[in-house]
Amino acid sequence: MSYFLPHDRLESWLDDLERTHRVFAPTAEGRGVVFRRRKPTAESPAAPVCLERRPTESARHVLFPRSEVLLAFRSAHDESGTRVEVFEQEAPAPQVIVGLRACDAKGFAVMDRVYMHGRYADPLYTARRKATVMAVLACVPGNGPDNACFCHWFASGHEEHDAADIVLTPASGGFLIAPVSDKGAEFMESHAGYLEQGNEELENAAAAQRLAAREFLEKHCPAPALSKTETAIMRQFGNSMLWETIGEPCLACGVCTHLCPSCYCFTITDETRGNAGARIRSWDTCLNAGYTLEASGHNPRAAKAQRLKNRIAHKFAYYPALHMGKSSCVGCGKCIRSCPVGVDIRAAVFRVLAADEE
Amino acid sequence: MNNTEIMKNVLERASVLLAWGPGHDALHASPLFARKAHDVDKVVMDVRAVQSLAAYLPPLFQSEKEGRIAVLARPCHVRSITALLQEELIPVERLILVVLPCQGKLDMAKVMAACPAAESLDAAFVDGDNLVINADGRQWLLRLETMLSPACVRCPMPELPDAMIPEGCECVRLDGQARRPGEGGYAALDAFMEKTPQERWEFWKQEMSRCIRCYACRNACPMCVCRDHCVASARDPHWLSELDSVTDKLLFQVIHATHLAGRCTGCGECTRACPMGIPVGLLKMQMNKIVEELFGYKAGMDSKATPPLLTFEAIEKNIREKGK
Repeated sequence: MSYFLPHDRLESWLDDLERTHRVFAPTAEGRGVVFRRRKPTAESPAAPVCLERRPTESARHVLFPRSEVLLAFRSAHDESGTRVEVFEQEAPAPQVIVGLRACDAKGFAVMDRVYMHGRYADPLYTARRKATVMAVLACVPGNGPDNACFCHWFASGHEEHDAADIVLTPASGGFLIAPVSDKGAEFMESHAGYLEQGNEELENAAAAQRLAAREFLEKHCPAPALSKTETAIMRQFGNSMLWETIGEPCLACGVCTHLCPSCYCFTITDETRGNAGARIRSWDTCLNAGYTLEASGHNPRAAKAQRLKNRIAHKFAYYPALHMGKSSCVGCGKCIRSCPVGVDIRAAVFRVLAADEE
Repeated sequence: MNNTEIMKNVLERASVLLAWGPGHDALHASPLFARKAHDVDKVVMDVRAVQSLAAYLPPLFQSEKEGRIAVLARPCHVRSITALLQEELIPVERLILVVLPCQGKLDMAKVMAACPAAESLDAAFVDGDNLVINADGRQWLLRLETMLSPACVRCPMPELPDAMIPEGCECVRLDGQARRPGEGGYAALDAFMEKTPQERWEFWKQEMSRCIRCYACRNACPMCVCRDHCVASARDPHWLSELDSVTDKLLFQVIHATHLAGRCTGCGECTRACPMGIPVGLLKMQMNKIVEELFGYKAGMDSKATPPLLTFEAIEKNIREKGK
């Protein structure tokens, strides 16, 4: 079952989704394209959705906010004495993210393995994840793969729909919409009002577009033997000269980790003011000196080269070692595109592989 | 000697030459730490070489492994280096300045807006006054003048005057044609300041709501030398809240601008580095203008001068004391 959404009905369709879901979609702001809650009202329409340019950031913050209050507390006084009141988060409302790319959605699959399974499953992430429908925009030539993209390195590639529920493919003056999960099929059934039926011709056209995007990627950026990277990185772990060379241009800012769809590290801070306070969870970045700073004042990763090594090794070695060989890099290229000094994680991987072969 | 030979010659006297080399595609360059003569063959120093290499100098000079350090610098970068020398953050005797006549630096957002296909280009190069881009089986010619960063458009000094070579610093000049000088001044800032305070506040609230707190603006800044000891990351005392609030993000920008008052050379790296395209440089520009009006001082012009906020006069000429 597939649907067709003509371009001129896109905004109305998105507004209609608000009946049942909070809608997050990319909007163009300044020079960036960022994911925003749409929130249309009777007085002011939502900012127009921007699907024609790749988002600058990932949609990660929709499910895993940059900063969130895990719990708030306040000491209250009355006749019976003093007691501490604690406020926890409320259950999340149903939401849909429209227009994230396959790589962004795959970032959530990476986070799911960490935050939704085992003893340390994260209740807040899990609840939001379950309440969220992912409507992925497929990349097609002219609106998709660029010179920084490399999703085809990973078994997934841009066509695999890890974590996606619905896939929108630009085709014939609109979008072919196909559900790819049960959740997606159910969602589409209740939101088909503005849509036409899809047909085989459209489906074939969309598939051809997606294939062309994949062919572009394979041609311009051949994939390395990823099966070797895990061992190569661990064998070269102590090769400090190598990592210093790789890390030399790095400014140790956090552009790469903050735009990344699959970086999931956080820090916890208690902030108090008077009788009240909050326990806050906020994104951390392994490029920051404070990330490994110990209470004694010792920092095992004092140099930026060691921090960048951690980022690369986590994506291509530690994470695969824990999760059936799957890399936690999804090849979206955001870190490459926005790095102020052009650090290219692909080049770093090739360098480690080359050093390991010597 | 041609430029490559000049640079190789310099490298014989230095342990490293900070330059630019190829980036992730033909439109981009990335800092290159040339240590061997053959590394110099990879140097890119046209409009694609956009980063200031000055930010690397203070930490690099602290490394015991380095001997003399040579650095490729456009005139605006020389101003940052001069400011670092004034504050004794780098040693003049170990520095070799390799100055290039400046053609300006590309503003990648302008290039992408003019030629969206450039993101998947096959080739890009400078040909005379044009940037040539081959993509999608087509060729685009973009006039260089219209593709430069705002800092370059206003830059009055694409060629470094001899008087601005820092005192006691070995300086080597490369050959090349500089672009025509811009008008200097603060036209863009003045236009912005015509808005009402309320409008400006709304503008900053909107812009900063996009800030992801990556601190690229800070780390790309050649004059931000606190590095791992920045007030923004301090846990004790904990100056900035971890909450994702516009006021805290803006507070950091105000701290940054204040810390740079009389030190910022207007190189534009903070704005360029911002992945979200927030014009954070405007705040520093306003500080620069105030410093210029109050103290008649522009940062990084004279290695013998002392930045006005690093010293004081018993009676400041342009500051009216209370009650006087």
